[in-house]
Amino acid sequence: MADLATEITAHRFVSGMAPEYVERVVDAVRDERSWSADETIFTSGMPADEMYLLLEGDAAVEVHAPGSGARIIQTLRGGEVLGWSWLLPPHRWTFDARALTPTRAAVLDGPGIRAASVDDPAFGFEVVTRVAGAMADRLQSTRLQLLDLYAHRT
Amino acid sequence: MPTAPDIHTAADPMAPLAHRIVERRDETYDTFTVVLDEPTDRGFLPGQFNMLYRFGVGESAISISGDPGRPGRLVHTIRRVGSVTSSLAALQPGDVIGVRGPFGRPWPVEDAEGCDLVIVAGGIGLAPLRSAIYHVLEHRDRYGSVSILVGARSPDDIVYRDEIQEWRGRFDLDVEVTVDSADRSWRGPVGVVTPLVRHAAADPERTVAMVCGPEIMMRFAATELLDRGVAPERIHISMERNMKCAVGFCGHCQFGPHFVCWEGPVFSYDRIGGLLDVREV
Repeated sequence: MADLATEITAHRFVSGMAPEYVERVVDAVRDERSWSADETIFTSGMPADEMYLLLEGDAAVEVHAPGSGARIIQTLRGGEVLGWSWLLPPHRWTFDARALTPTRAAVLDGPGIRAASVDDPAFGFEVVTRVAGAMADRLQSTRLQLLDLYAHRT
Repeated sequence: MPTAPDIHTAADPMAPLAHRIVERRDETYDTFTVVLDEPTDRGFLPGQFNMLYRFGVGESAISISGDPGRPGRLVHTIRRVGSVTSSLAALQPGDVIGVRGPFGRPWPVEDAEGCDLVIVAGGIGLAPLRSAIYHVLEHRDRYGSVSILVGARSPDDIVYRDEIQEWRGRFDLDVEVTVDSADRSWRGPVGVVTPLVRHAAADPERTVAMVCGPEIMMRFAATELLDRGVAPERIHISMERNMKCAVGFCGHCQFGPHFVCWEGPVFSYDRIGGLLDVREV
Protein backbone atom coordinates (compact mmCIF):
# COMPACT_ATOMS: atom_id res chain seq x y z
CA MET A 1 0.00 0.00 0.00
CA ALA A 2 2.91 2.32 0.71
CA ASP A 3 4.09 2.02 -2.87
CA LEU A 4 0.56 2.57 -4.16
CA ALA A 5 0.25 5.67 -1.96
CA THR A 6 3.44 6.99 -3.53
CA GLU A 7 2.06 6.34 -7.01
CA ILE A 8 -1.21 8.08 -6.18
CA THR A 9 0.64 11.05 -4.74
CA ALA A 10 2.44 11.37 -8.07
CA HIS A 11 -0.76 10.93 -10.12
CA ARG A 12 -1.89 13.86 -12.26
CA PHE A 13 -5.31 13.79 -10.60
CA VAL A 14 -3.90 15.02 -7.29
CA SER A 15 -1.24 17.30 -8.75
CA GLY A 16 -1.25 20.56 -6.77
CA MET A 17 -3.77 19.26 -4.22
CA ALA A 18 -3.18 20.08 -0.54
CA PRO A 19 -1.31 17.22 1.19
CA GLU A 20 -4.17 16.55 3.62
CA TYR A 21 -6.57 16.11 0.69
CA VAL A 22 -4.14 13.83 -1.12
CA GLU A 23 -4.08 11.79 2.05
CA ARG A 24 -7.87 11.52 1.96
CA VAL A 25 -7.73 10.35 -1.63
CA VAL A 26 -5.19 7.73 -0.59
CA ASP A 27 -7.47 6.74 2.30
CA ALA A 28 -10.29 6.22 -0.21
CA VAL A 29 -8.34 3.56 -2.10
CA ARG A 30 -10.09 0.20 -2.04
CA ASP A 31 -7.36 -1.70 -3.77
CA GLU A 32 -4.96 -1.81 -6.64
CA ARG A 33 -6.36 -3.76 -9.55
CA SER A 34 -4.90 -5.11 -12.77
CA TRP A 35 -6.54 -6.19 -16.01
CA SER A 36 -5.04 -8.11 -18.85
CA ALA A 37 -5.51 -6.95 -22.44
CA ASP A 38 -9.14 -7.13 -23.61
CA GLU A 39 -10.45 -7.69 -20.09
CA THR A 40 -13.56 -5.72 -19.11
CA ILE A 41 -13.09 -3.04 -16.44
CA PHE A 42 -16.77 -2.13 -16.12
CA THR A 43 -19.96 -2.56 -18.08
CA SER A 44 -22.66 -0.12 -19.06
CA GLY A 45 -25.74 -0.23 -16.82
CA MET A 46 -23.96 -1.79 -13.86
CA PRO A 47 -23.70 0.05 -10.51
CA ALA A 48 -20.90 2.59 -10.51
CA ASP A 49 -19.29 2.94 -7.12
CA GLU A 50 -15.62 3.15 -8.07
CA MET A 51 -13.26 5.66 -9.57
CA TYR A 52 -10.10 4.52 -11.32
CA LEU A 53 -6.81 6.36 -11.31
CA LEU A 54 -5.00 4.70 -14.18
CA LEU A 55 -1.41 4.00 -13.28
CA GLU A 56 -0.25 1.97 -16.25
CA GLY A 57 -1.61 0.71 -19.52
CA ASP A 58 -4.31 1.84 -21.92
CA ALA A 59 -8.05 1.54 -21.53
CA ALA A 60 -10.86 2.04 -24.02
CA VAL A 61 -14.25 3.58 -23.32
CA GLU A 62 -16.73 1.84 -25.60
CA VAL A 63 -20.34 1.77 -26.57
CA HIS A 64 -22.22 -1.12 -28.07
CA ALA A 65 -24.52 -0.18 -30.91
CA PRO A 66 -27.01 -2.70 -32.22
CA GLY A 67 -25.86 -3.98 -35.57
CA SER A 68 -22.44 -2.38 -35.50
CA GLY A 69 -20.87 -3.99 -32.46
CA ALA A 70 -18.51 -2.19 -30.12
CA ARG A 71 -17.20 1.25 -31.08
CA ILE A 72 -14.32 2.79 -29.21
CA ILE A 73 -15.22 6.32 -28.18
CA GLN A 74 -11.97 7.25 -26.51
CA THR A 75 -8.86 5.71 -25.13
CA LEU A 76 -7.16 6.65 -21.89
CA ARG A 77 -3.68 5.99 -20.58
CA GLY A 78 -1.73 5.87 -17.35
CA GLY A 79 -2.01 9.18 -15.49
CA GLU A 80 -5.63 9.72 -16.47
CA VAL A 81 -8.91 9.20 -14.64
CA LEU A 82 -11.42 6.59 -15.71
CA GLY A 83 -15.05 6.80 -14.66
CA TRP A 84 -17.16 9.53 -13.13
CA SER A 85 -20.57 7.84 -12.96
CA TRP A 86 -19.85 7.12 -9.28
CA LEU A 87 -20.22 10.87 -8.67
CA LEU A 88 -23.62 11.51 -10.22
CA PRO A 89 -26.95 9.76 -9.71
CA PRO A 90 -28.09 7.18 -10.66
CA HIS A 91 -24.53 5.90 -10.12
CA ARG A 92 -24.56 3.49 -13.04
CA TRP A 93 -21.93 3.20 -15.75
CA THR A 94 -23.06 4.77 -19.00
CA PHE A 95 -20.35 3.17 -21.15
CA ASP A 96 -18.18 0.08 -21.16
CA ALA A 97 -14.51 0.19 -20.28
CA ARG A 98 -11.99 -2.38 -21.44
CA ALA A 99 -8.25 -2.75 -21.01
CA LEU A 100 -6.44 -2.47 -24.35
CA THR A 101 -3.10 -3.45 -22.88
CA PRO A 102 -2.18 -4.85 -19.46
CA THR A 103 -3.56 -2.10 -17.26
CA ARG A 104 -3.19 -1.24 -13.61
CA ALA A 105 -5.23 1.26 -11.58
CA ALA A 106 -5.81 2.50 -8.07
CA VAL A 107 -9.49 1.85 -7.36
CA LEU A 108 -11.16 4.48 -5.20
CA ASP A 109 -14.29 4.07 -3.14
CA GLY A 110 -16.89 6.32 -4.83
CA PRO A 111 -19.46 6.45 -2.00
CA GLY A 112 -16.60 7.04 0.45
CA ILE A 113 -15.38 10.07 -1.52
CA ARG A 114 -18.94 11.38 -1.79
CA ALA A 115 -19.38 11.08 1.99
CA ALA A 116 -16.04 12.76 2.66
CA SER A 117 -17.05 15.55 0.30
CA VAL A 118 -20.26 16.14 2.21
CA ASP A 119 -18.33 16.23 5.48
CA ASP A 120 -15.75 18.64 4.08
CA PRO A 121 -17.10 20.66 1.14
CA ALA A 122 -13.67 22.19 0.50
CA PHE A 123 -12.30 18.70 -0.13
CA GLY A 124 -15.39 17.91 -2.18
CA PHE A 125 -14.83 21.01 -4.29
CA GLU A 126 -11.25 19.94 -4.98
CA VAL A 127 -12.35 16.49 -6.08
CA VAL A 128 -15.31 17.66 -8.14
CA THR A 129 -13.24 20.35 -9.84
CA ARG A 130 -10.70 17.77 -10.91
CA VAL A 131 -13.30 15.28 -12.09
CA ALA A 132 -15.07 18.11 -13.92
CA GLY A 133 -11.76 19.03 -15.54
CA ALA A 134 -11.43 15.52 -16.92
CA MET A 135 -15.08 15.62 -18.04
CA ALA A 136 -14.62 18.97 -19.79
CA ASP A 137 -11.49 17.73 -21.47
CA ARG A 138 -13.29 14.70 -22.83
CA LEU A 139 -16.33 16.71 -23.84
CA GLN A 140 -14.08 18.97 -25.87
CA SER A 141 -12.42 15.97 -27.48
CA THR A 142 -15.80 14.45 -28.25
CA ARG A 143 -16.99 17.69 -29.82
CA LEU A 144 -13.94 17.78 -32.04
CA GLN A 145 -14.53 14.15 -33.01
CA LEU A 146 -18.15 15.01 -33.86
CA LEU A 147 -16.94 17.82 -36.11
CA ASP A 148 -15.41 15.15 -38.31
CA LEU A 149 -12.51 17.48 -39.02
CA TYR A 150 -10.89 15.35 -41.65
CA ALA A 151 -13.98 14.83 -43.78
CA HIS A 152 -14.33 16.19 -47.30
CA ARG A 153 -15.07 19.90 -47.53
CA THR A 154 -16.26 20.27 -51.11
CA MET B 1 0.46 7.38 -75.03
CA PRO B 2 0.74 11.17 -75.50
CA THR B 3 4.08 12.64 -76.38
CA ALA B 4 5.53 14.80 -73.64
CA PRO B 5 5.90 18.46 -74.57
CA ASP B 6 9.39 19.86 -74.45
CA ILE B 7 10.64 20.29 -70.93
CA HIS B 8 10.84 23.98 -70.18
CA THR B 9 13.82 25.26 -68.32
CA ALA B 10 12.79 28.88 -68.27
CA ALA B 11 12.48 30.55 -64.90
CA ASP B 12 9.00 31.87 -65.69
CA PRO B 13 6.99 30.87 -62.61
CA MET B 14 3.76 30.98 -64.60
CA ALA B 15 4.93 28.49 -67.22
CA PRO B 16 4.21 24.88 -66.32
CA LEU B 17 6.88 22.31 -67.05
CA ALA B 18 5.82 18.95 -68.39
CA HIS B 19 6.47 16.02 -66.08
CA ARG B 20 5.70 12.38 -66.69
CA ILE B 21 4.11 10.20 -64.05
CA VAL B 22 6.45 7.32 -63.32
CA GLU B 23 4.52 5.76 -60.46
CA ARG B 24 1.05 5.94 -58.97
CA ARG B 25 -0.28 4.24 -55.87
CA ASP B 26 -3.37 4.47 -53.71
CA GLU B 27 -2.76 5.50 -50.12
CA THR B 28 -6.38 5.22 -48.95
CA TYR B 29 -9.77 4.96 -50.62
CA ASP B 30 -9.68 8.68 -51.50
CA THR B 31 -5.99 9.55 -51.43
CA PHE B 32 -3.26 8.63 -53.87
CA THR B 33 0.39 9.37 -54.49
CA VAL B 34 1.95 10.20 -57.83
CA VAL B 35 5.68 10.18 -58.47
CA LEU B 36 6.82 12.41 -61.31
CA ASP B 37 10.09 12.42 -63.14
CA GLU B 38 12.13 15.54 -62.42
CA PRO B 39 14.53 16.13 -65.27
CA THR B 40 15.39 19.65 -64.12
CA ASP B 41 16.59 18.76 -60.62
CA ARG B 42 15.34 22.07 -59.34
CA GLY B 43 15.12 20.69 -55.84
CA PHE B 44 12.69 21.83 -53.18
CA LEU B 45 12.54 22.58 -49.50
CA PRO B 46 10.36 20.65 -47.02
CA GLY B 47 6.91 22.20 -46.89
CA GLN B 48 6.94 23.78 -50.33
CA PHE B 49 4.23 23.07 -52.87
CA ASN B 50 3.81 22.76 -56.61
CA MET B 51 0.93 23.78 -58.84
CA LEU B 52 -0.09 20.62 -60.67
CA TYR B 53 -1.78 21.29 -64.00
CA ARG B 54 -4.10 18.70 -65.49
CA PHE B 55 -4.24 19.84 -69.08
CA GLY B 56 -7.68 21.05 -70.03
CA VAL B 57 -9.05 20.78 -66.48
CA GLY B 58 -7.11 23.14 -64.25
CA GLU B 59 -4.46 23.57 -61.62
CA SER B 60 -4.30 22.59 -57.99
CA ALA B 61 -1.75 23.45 -55.30
CA ILE B 62 -0.27 20.24 -53.90
CA SER B 63 2.43 19.96 -51.27
CA ILE B 64 5.57 18.08 -52.13
CA SER B 65 5.68 15.03 -49.89
CA GLY B 66 8.87 13.38 -51.09
CA ASP B 67 12.40 13.35 -49.74
CA PRO B 68 14.22 16.62 -50.38
CA GLY B 69 17.49 14.75 -50.09
CA ARG B 70 16.66 12.57 -53.07
CA PRO B 71 16.30 14.77 -56.14
CA GLY B 72 15.18 13.38 -59.46
CA ARG B 73 11.65 12.52 -58.39
CA LEU B 74 8.73 14.70 -57.38
CA VAL B 75 6.29 13.03 -55.00
CA HIS B 76 2.81 14.37 -54.35
CA THR B 77 0.09 12.81 -52.24
CA ILE B 78 -3.31 14.02 -53.31
CA ARG B 79 -6.80 13.68 -51.93
CA ARG B 80 -9.69 13.57 -54.37
CA VAL B 81 -11.81 16.55 -53.38
CA GLY B 82 -12.56 18.43 -56.60
CA SER B 83 -12.48 18.30 -60.36
CA VAL B 84 -8.72 18.75 -60.76
CA THR B 85 -7.70 16.26 -58.11
CA SER B 86 -10.30 13.75 -59.31
CA SER B 87 -8.95 14.13 -62.82
CA LEU B 88 -5.40 13.67 -61.56
CA ALA B 89 -6.54 10.52 -59.80
CA ALA B 90 -7.45 8.97 -63.12
CA LEU B 91 -3.93 9.34 -64.55
CA GLN B 92 -1.53 6.46 -64.81
CA PRO B 93 2.23 6.03 -65.22
CA GLY B 94 3.29 7.47 -68.56
CA ASP B 95 0.76 10.28 -68.51
CA VAL B 96 2.05 13.83 -68.47
CA ILE B 97 0.97 16.77 -66.33
CA GLY B 98 2.18 20.35 -66.00
CA VAL B 99 4.06 21.47 -62.92
CA ARG B 100 4.85 24.95 -61.69
CA GLY B 101 6.97 25.43 -58.64
CA PRO B 102 8.25 24.81 -56.11
CA PHE B 103 6.66 27.68 -54.24
CA GLY B 104 6.29 28.91 -50.71
CA ARG B 105 8.03 29.31 -47.40
CA PRO B 106 9.23 25.94 -46.06
CA TRP B 107 9.25 24.33 -42.62
CA PRO B 108 12.10 25.79 -40.55
CA VAL B 109 14.04 22.54 -40.37
CA GLU B 110 17.43 24.23 -40.24
CA ASP B 111 16.44 26.82 -37.66
CA ALA B 112 15.09 23.96 -35.55
CA GLU B 113 18.44 22.19 -35.31
CA GLY B 114 19.39 21.56 -31.71
CA CYS B 115 15.74 21.65 -30.64
CA ASP B 116 13.17 19.04 -29.68
CA LEU B 117 10.56 18.62 -32.40
CA VAL B 118 6.85 18.06 -32.04
CA ILE B 119 5.26 17.30 -35.40
CA VAL B 120 1.46 17.19 -35.40
CA ALA B 121 -0.39 15.99 -38.49
CA GLY B 122 -4.12 15.71 -39.04
CA GLY B 123 -5.43 13.67 -41.97
CA ILE B 124 -3.77 14.49 -45.27
CA GLY B 125 -1.76 17.09 -43.32
CA LEU B 126 0.90 14.43 -42.93
CA ALA B 127 1.80 14.84 -46.61
CA PRO B 128 3.30 18.35 -46.32
CA LEU B 129 5.08 17.26 -43.15
CA ARG B 130 6.56 14.09 -44.59
CA SER B 131 9.28 15.94 -46.48
CA ALA B 132 10.28 17.63 -43.21
CA ILE B 133 10.27 14.26 -41.45
CA TYR B 134 12.53 12.83 -44.16
CA HIS B 135 14.91 15.74 -43.66
CA VAL B 136 14.94 15.24 -39.89
CA LEU B 137 15.56 11.51 -40.21
CA GLU B 138 18.36 12.18 -42.67
CA HIS B 139 19.99 14.50 -40.12
CA ARG B 140 18.69 12.87 -36.96
CA ASP B 141 21.74 13.75 -34.87
CA ARG B 142 21.04 17.47 -35.31
CA TYR B 143 17.80 17.33 -33.32
CA GLY B 144 16.75 16.48 -29.79
CA SER B 145 13.67 14.37 -29.17
CA VAL B 146 11.33 13.99 -32.12
CA SER B 147 7.63 13.31 -31.58
CA ILE B 148 5.39 12.62 -34.55
CA LEU B 149 1.69 12.77 -33.66
CA VAL B 150 -0.77 11.70 -36.32
CA GLY B 151 -4.55 11.97 -36.28
CA ALA B 152 -6.93 10.46 -38.79
CA ARG B 153 -10.64 10.01 -39.17
CA SER B 154 -10.49 6.22 -38.99
CA PRO B 155 -7.88 3.48 -39.43
CA ASP B 156 -8.80 3.34 -43.12
CA ASP B 157 -7.89 7.02 -43.51
CA ILE B 158 -4.29 6.75 -42.33
CA VAL B 159 -1.88 7.67 -45.11
CA TYR B 160 1.65 6.23 -45.34
CA ARG B 161 0.75 3.32 -43.05
CA ASP B 162 3.82 1.24 -43.87
CA GLU B 163 6.12 4.18 -43.36
CA ILE B 164 4.51 5.14 -40.07
CA GLN B 165 4.97 1.55 -38.95
CA GLU B 166 8.63 1.82 -39.86
CA TRP B 167 9.00 5.07 -37.92
CA ARG B 168 7.33 3.50 -34.90
CA GLY B 169 10.00 0.83 -34.92
CA ARG B 170 12.78 3.36 -34.42
CA PHE B 171 14.17 4.01 -30.97
CA ASP B 172 14.88 7.66 -31.73
CA LEU B 173 11.32 8.64 -32.61
CA ASP B 174 8.16 8.89 -30.56
CA VAL B 175 5.31 8.16 -32.95
CA GLU B 176 1.66 8.14 -31.95
CA VAL B 177 -1.32 7.60 -34.20
CA THR B 178 -4.86 8.26 -33.05
CA VAL B 179 -8.17 8.01 -34.88
CA ASP B 180 -11.51 9.67 -34.29
CA SER B 181 -13.48 6.48 -34.54
CA ALA B 182 -12.67 2.78 -34.56
CA ASP B 183 -13.99 -0.65 -33.87
CA ARG B 184 -12.23 -3.19 -31.71
CA SER B 185 -9.84 -4.26 -34.43
CA TRP B 186 -7.94 -1.01 -33.87
CA ARG B 187 -5.37 -1.37 -31.09
CA GLY B 188 -4.18 2.23 -30.89
CA PRO B 189 -5.52 5.41 -29.30
CA VAL B 190 -8.95 6.79 -30.15
CA GLY B 191 -9.59 10.50 -29.78
CA VAL B 192 -8.44 13.74 -31.33
CA VAL B 193 -4.77 14.22 -32.01
CA THR B 194 -4.29 17.46 -30.10
CA PRO B 195 -4.21 16.08 -26.51
CA LEU B 196 -1.31 13.83 -27.53
CA VAL B 197 0.80 16.99 -27.39
CA ARG B 198 0.63 16.75 -23.59
CA HIS B 199 2.42 13.43 -23.62
CA ALA B 200 5.14 14.34 -26.10
CA ALA B 201 8.59 13.94 -24.62
CA ALA B 202 9.78 17.43 -25.43
CA ASP B 203 11.21 20.26 -23.38
CA PRO B 204 8.85 23.19 -24.08
CA GLU B 205 11.63 25.73 -23.79
CA ARG B 206 13.60 24.14 -26.58
CA THR B 207 10.74 22.79 -28.67
CA VAL B 208 9.90 23.67 -32.23
CA ALA B 209 6.48 22.47 -33.37
CA MET B 210 5.29 21.90 -36.92
CA VAL B 211 1.57 21.43 -37.35
CA CYS B 212 -0.51 20.70 -40.43
CA GLY B 213 -4.14 19.69 -40.75
CA PRO B 214 -7.59 21.25 -40.71
CA GLU B 215 -7.50 24.78 -39.32
CA ILE B 216 -9.55 23.95 -36.24
CA MET B 217 -7.19 21.12 -35.43
CA MET B 218 -4.19 23.39 -35.85
CA ARG B 219 -5.75 25.97 -33.56
CA PHE B 220 -6.34 23.39 -30.82
CA ALA B 221 -2.89 21.89 -31.32
CA ALA B 222 -1.35 25.34 -30.99
CA THR B 223 -3.37 25.91 -27.80
CA GLU B 224 -2.03 22.68 -26.32
CA LEU B 225 1.51 23.66 -27.29
CA LEU B 226 1.11 27.14 -25.81
CA ASP B 227 -0.32 25.59 -22.63
CA ARG B 228 2.79 23.45 -22.39
CA GLY B 229 4.92 26.56 -22.63
CA VAL B 230 6.06 26.46 -26.24
CA ALA B 231 6.59 30.02 -27.48
CA PRO B 232 4.24 31.10 -30.31
CA GLU B 233 7.15 31.97 -32.59
CA ARG B 234 8.33 28.36 -32.31
CA ILE B 235 5.00 26.91 -33.40
CA HIS B 236 4.69 26.66 -37.17
CA ILE B 237 1.54 25.84 -39.07
CA SER B 238 0.95 25.24 -42.76
CA MET B 239 -2.06 27.05 -44.17
CA GLU B 240 -4.21 25.92 -47.05
CA ARG B 241 -5.97 28.46 -49.21
CA ASN B 242 -7.22 28.72 -52.76
CA MET B 243 -3.90 29.19 -54.54
CA LYS B 244 -4.08 30.39 -58.12
CA CYS B 245 -0.98 32.26 -59.29
CA ALA B 246 1.24 30.94 -56.46
CA VAL B 247 3.54 33.95 -56.75
CA GLY B 248 1.69 36.58 -54.72
CA PHE B 249 0.01 38.45 -57.59
CA CYS B 250 -3.60 37.41 -57.79
CA GLY B 251 -4.71 37.54 -54.16
CA HIS B 252 -6.92 34.45 -54.27
CA CYS B 253 -5.07 32.97 -51.33
CA GLN B 254 -5.11 36.11 -49.24
CA PHE B 255 -5.54 35.47 -45.52
CA GLY B 256 -5.94 38.77 -43.73
CA PRO B 257 -2.90 40.78 -44.77
CA HIS B 258 -0.98 37.67 -45.83
CA PHE B 259 -0.63 35.99 -49.20
CA VAL B 260 -0.48 32.33 -48.25
CA CYS B 261 1.24 31.25 -51.48
CA TRP B 262 4.00 33.76 -51.11
CA GLU B 263 4.46 34.41 -47.40
CA GLY B 264 3.41 30.88 -46.47
CA PRO B 265 2.15 28.25 -46.61
CA VAL B 266 4.22 27.80 -43.44
CA PHE B 267 3.71 30.58 -40.90
CA SER B 268 4.86 30.94 -37.34
CA TYR B 269 1.93 31.12 -34.95
CA ASP B 270 2.83 34.56 -33.63
CA ARG B 271 2.29 35.94 -37.16
CA ILE B 272 -0.99 34.26 -37.95
CA GLY B 273 -2.52 32.76 -34.81
CA GLY B 274 -4.79 35.74 -34.15
CA LEU B 275 -6.37 35.41 -37.57
CA LEU B 276 -7.44 31.83 -36.94
CA ASP B 277 -10.09 33.09 -34.54
CA VAL B 278 -11.51 35.61 -37.00
CA ARG B 279 -14.67 34.27 -38.61
CA GLU B 280 -14.46 36.10 -41.93
CA VAL B 281 -10.94 36.58 -43.17
